[in-house]
Amino acid sequence: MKKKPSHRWLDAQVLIGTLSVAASVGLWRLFAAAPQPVAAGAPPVPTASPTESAPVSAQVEPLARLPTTRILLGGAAPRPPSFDSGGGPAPVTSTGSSRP
Amino acid sequence: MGSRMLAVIDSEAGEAARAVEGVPIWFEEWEMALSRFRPESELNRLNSRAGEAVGVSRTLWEVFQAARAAEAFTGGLVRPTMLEAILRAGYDRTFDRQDDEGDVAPPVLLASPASSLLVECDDAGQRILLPRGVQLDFGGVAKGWAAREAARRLDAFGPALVDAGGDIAVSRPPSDGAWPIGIRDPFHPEMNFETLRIRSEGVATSGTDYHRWRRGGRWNHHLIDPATGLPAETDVLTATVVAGDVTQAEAAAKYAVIAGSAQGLEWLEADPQLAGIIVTQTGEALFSKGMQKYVWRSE
Repeated sequence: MKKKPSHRWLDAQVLIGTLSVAASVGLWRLFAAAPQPVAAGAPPVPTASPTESAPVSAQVEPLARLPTTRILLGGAAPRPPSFDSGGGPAPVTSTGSSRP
Repeated sequence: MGSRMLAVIDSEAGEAARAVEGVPIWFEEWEMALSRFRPESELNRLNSRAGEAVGVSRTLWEVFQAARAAEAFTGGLVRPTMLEAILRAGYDRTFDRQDDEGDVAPPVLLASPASSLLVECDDAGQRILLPRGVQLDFGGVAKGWAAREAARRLDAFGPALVDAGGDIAVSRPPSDGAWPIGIRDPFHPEMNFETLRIRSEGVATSGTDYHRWRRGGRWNHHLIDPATGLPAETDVLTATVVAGDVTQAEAAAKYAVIAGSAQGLEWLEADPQLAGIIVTQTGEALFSKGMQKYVWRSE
């Protein structure tokens, strides 16, 4: 008389079967995927090269965005009037728009 | 002349001090000849006699010749024949009596003011024939001439400096080498923003920062553009010029204000005898290349 298999053995068989099916399906999907087609003459993916110069933009910035200080016709760098009396000794007098 | 005057002699001699005390008398005499604000002045008498040849004093003759030289020197931009335009702009009284928002004729485009170079002059007889409709106003040229003449007279007592309302003449270098002269900051008039080292040149400043008034809702000033007959529309607040002669410096400073900062600086740099600093309405200070040798830096 054959001995009736135990529930524990049946559970192990079901588990092994399940894992086998899952592994088969997973490997099938992995290797059955169609390779990506590569078109002849397709442009290469652009990559940055450290030796390439940066593209030059021809767009002109509007004047309004320039800094407010300007150098005009070779004069020294402009600067706002400073609020000291400059170098040298105390002036004898000062020039300015005439005042009474 | 409606301005503060200062005379200095580099000498400790008593006679030099006495000479300085006499300077106000000279200026009073010149005022009586040259001011349009004195009804009885020689200039007003000349202006009232347009159309006839009028003999004038040596003072008026010399100032008129200096004004003509300034007109030629500035290519006609600074000329003494703008009185009608100045009056229409509202400068019809001394500036200390100027009030804002008074009545004034609306600004109109005038025919280009006559050139003083076309005024008939009799050199031998010192006579001037103004065309009808032409009147003279010497303005800053008279101040510059007065400063130069006073410095020349005082030089007999030592190196002299005379400041006529910001137009400064020196006769020769003082004993320590140079006269230190400040340039007033137009945004803070009680302060200087540079000090110049002046040996024998003339210095003058012109600007729209003080001589201006409000009429008809707009700001007017006394620097007339001869192309329009109206107060010049300019981005320049003040211009200070160093030149060989103070009347030349005065005319050049006016040129820079009327012409605007770009043209004014270009014009100053084109003449090696001129150097200037232009302060714009936005607070920029533009130095001509020639100015470097005059700016006094700490050693």
